[in-house]
Amino acid sequence: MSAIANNSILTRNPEMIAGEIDGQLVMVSIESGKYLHLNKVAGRIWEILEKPDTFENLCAILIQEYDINIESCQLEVGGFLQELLEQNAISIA
Amino acid sequence: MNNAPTANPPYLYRAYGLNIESEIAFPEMEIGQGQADVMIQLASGLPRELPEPARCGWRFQARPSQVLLTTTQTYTLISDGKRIQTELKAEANIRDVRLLLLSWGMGALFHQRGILPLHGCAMEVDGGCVVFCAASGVGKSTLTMNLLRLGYHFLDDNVAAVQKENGQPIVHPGLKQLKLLPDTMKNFGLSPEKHEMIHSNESKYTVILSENHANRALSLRRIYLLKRSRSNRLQMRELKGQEKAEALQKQIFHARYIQGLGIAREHYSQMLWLAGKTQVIEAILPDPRPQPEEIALQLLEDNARRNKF
Repeated sequence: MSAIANNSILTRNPEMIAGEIDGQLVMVSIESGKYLHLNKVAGRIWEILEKPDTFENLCAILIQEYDINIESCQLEVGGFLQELLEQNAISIA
Repeated sequence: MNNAPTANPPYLYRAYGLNIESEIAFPEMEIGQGQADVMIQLASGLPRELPEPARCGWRFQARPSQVLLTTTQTYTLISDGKRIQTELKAEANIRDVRLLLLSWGMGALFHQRGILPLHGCAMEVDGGCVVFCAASGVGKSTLTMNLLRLGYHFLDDNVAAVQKENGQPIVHPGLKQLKLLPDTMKNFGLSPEKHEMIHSNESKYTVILSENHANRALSLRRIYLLKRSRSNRLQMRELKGQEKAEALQKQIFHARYIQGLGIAREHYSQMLWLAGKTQVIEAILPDPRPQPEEIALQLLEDNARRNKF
């Protein structure tokens, strides 16, 4: 995830919609009709990105919510963002 | 047409929570009253193509607010969730046209109105609606007939039209007909020769059962997805989360219209809502098949047990 800079803007893909089913955050692509579910942290990232935000701000919010330091957070969030990118749930600019 | 209203057209019917005014008689619908929500009209000069269709498929074109069906017997235009117009070709058989309008036509109308049509049999069980979905040949009709014999009522044999009312999923009574194969009919003492075939090209018959038809809208309690596999007992598994949403999506009647109608966002939002609001149980029926009554009783028992939680 070296392509993500601190000031990279993360934006939800408007073609994805999400809802909670049985405590699981389930997303569906309105183009393909494909469903997927997100784990708790990826789901939280999705929630935070209701408004587009920078990678830096996203990590700042998450370190307040999870017992993790900024370096580890950036590393781990990178992995979750990769997952969201692969699912075409977000875009990075 | 022995069950058609005696008055001249247009007739007024009630099905799926809608008042339907129709120039064609539909003996499979309950008689209605009041202001029409939907008109079914005989028309001429319907377009042969839609202007700028968003999606074209086998015998249909769709664009926002409109679906055009082109079949061997009719041109049929479904507009704004309010109007079904059909232009009969010379060779049209009115019985076949009725089936087309009630399946492909109403399917398009449901999507235009934001109603979620699940392909399954909707039954009234213990004051709620339970839907049984199954692929052809699994035994849904036999199950339905067994439930009717046990005194239960059906809302619709083929489609559960789910609507959001006061934040809850509700199913209204649909058609008062069952579509049955001759073998199933014979097992329940019905004579195929006394009933009308549903279509020239299909071997099923229309059986109208007014007395067994539910007469009120009910909350959707749960959906059973019936499957068959080689096992010696009935197995139940509740689906959750993504798996549930995917399984429900596969039951949507005439989903092929969704993209062309431009309603995908609303449709999938509704599906997420419905999946969050209802239970979906996968029921694997045993094979070789035990006595059909036994399956009906076991499903009723499972349903009653889940109602307690």
